[in-house]
Amino acid sequence: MRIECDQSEPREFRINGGDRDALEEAVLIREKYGGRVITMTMDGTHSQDILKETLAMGADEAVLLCDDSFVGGDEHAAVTVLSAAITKILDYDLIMCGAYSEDMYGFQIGPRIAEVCNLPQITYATRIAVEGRRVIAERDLEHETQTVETKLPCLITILPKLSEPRTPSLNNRTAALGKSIIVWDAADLSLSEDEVGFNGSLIDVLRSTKFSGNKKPVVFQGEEQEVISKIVDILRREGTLGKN
Amino acid sequence: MRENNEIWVFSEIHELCLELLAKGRQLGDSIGTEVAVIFPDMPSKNDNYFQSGADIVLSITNPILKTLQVDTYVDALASLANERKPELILIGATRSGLELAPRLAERLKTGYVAHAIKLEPDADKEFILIDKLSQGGTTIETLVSRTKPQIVTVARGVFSPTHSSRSGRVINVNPEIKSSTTKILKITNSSSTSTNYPLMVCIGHGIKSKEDITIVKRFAETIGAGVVYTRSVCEDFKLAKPELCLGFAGRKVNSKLCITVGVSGDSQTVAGFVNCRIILSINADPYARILSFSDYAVVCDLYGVLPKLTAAVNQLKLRR
Repeated sequence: MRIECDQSEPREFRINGGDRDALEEAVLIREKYGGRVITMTMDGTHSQDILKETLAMGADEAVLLCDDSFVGGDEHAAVTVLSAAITKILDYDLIMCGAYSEDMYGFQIGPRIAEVCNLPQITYATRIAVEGRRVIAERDLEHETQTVETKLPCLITILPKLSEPRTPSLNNRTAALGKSIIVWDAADLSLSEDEVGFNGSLIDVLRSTKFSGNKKPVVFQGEEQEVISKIVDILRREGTLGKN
Repeated sequence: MRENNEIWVFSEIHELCLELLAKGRQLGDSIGTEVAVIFPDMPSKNDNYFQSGADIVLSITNPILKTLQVDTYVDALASLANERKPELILIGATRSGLELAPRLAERLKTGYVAHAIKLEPDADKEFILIDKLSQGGTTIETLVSRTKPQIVTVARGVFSPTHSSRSGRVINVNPEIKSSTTKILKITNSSSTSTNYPLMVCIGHGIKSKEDITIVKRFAETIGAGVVYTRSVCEDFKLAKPELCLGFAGRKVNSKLCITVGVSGDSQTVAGFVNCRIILSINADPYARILSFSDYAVVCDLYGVLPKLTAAVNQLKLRR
């Protein structure tokens, strides 16, 4: 077994809620059925700390995918790297990742990996049960809840709060400090410069502008009765109260 | 004539499909392509699609597609896309749409942008420029795909449906589809509430308890407004259902008037109502970020003002 932590917040060094819950769920499944839990992220070397944290939380091994050529790519280029690393591991049963990253809300990485690795996907899972080679999961589609079944190997994306992640004990933390992080670069994954990073991307960013309001509102404050009558005026003008 | 001569629209949610059709129509007129709807759920809706902007309904009657499952739908869309080579595929950003689009993009090896808020052709009318929010909603990025079809997801409420007396044609298609690798054992419906009101009230984390929400909801009901919530109210305080969560990744509203109550105005939330024509914010903090997005700002203690406001509106209704 392996789990995949998509860590796409390079500035904040924080594990996404969904990724953290995916790790906890993977550890629970290993405690029941055995196997190994491997965490993985693609980022600069500063992600070593994040991966150490996953070891303290119960992961058996942690892999950092790090190469100068990986920088500056879109989701497609990132998934090219992640999928190459997953393929290199070979004997996985279950790939788990957070449903979305808390800064981008793209919901993209899981389904893309599932496609590249040719796996069934169960997205937005809120509950998972493994029975032999069968996986049964509940998924939350907002307007409905589905119970679905598929076979291992498969990919599951987890909504935050599936399980209450454990706080690593001092022992686990100390043990994690002693473990080393596996680092794979482009050569380890047999990836050429054309496949990854900016060169391997399918989307270009043309420009980037700050999203901020520039309105200067009419401000109502002070005497309550007056404020209320001003709001009522607006409701009559713009809302459903009708005009007298 | 361009090789890619269709813009495609797909959403399992009918209303969202009509919103996307309106945008598809506008882009199609601008760059000179036809607009096609894929897999309508009911042939009885065809006229509705045509009047909302479609030239073509690409109709598939394969029973495998009766339930929306990601692998079968990706098979169908990809096989049709390889055959018909559309310019652009607009997909509704529901949870189903958001799991389908990236997998389809990876299958077709083409560019995909999630949660577009604006679409317009480039100067040569060759590619569509896509605006989306990024960096937690603090930045607008303008993106373009290097490849075609360009795939884009768009949430509810970003575009408005249009209506005209058009007609179109139905083309029956029969792409090759393998049956799904996943079995659906059970489906439980969650009550889904419409957020398509001309008047909306958005409740933010200035409101801390169920009782306080009742006060705001009573006000909303009195003025005939729909109610949505910010992410922190739904996810952190768990005071509202996630499907009523407004924002970057959640629902969008484009009502005439949106009244925000206790909303501080983080970019995540603002992304959900920035398309409303008039924004009136009610907030205790005179320095809240929401003010720079508001046309009217009421700086007050909510608990003092809201019940009295509700009473005043009720009285007005009685007098008429």
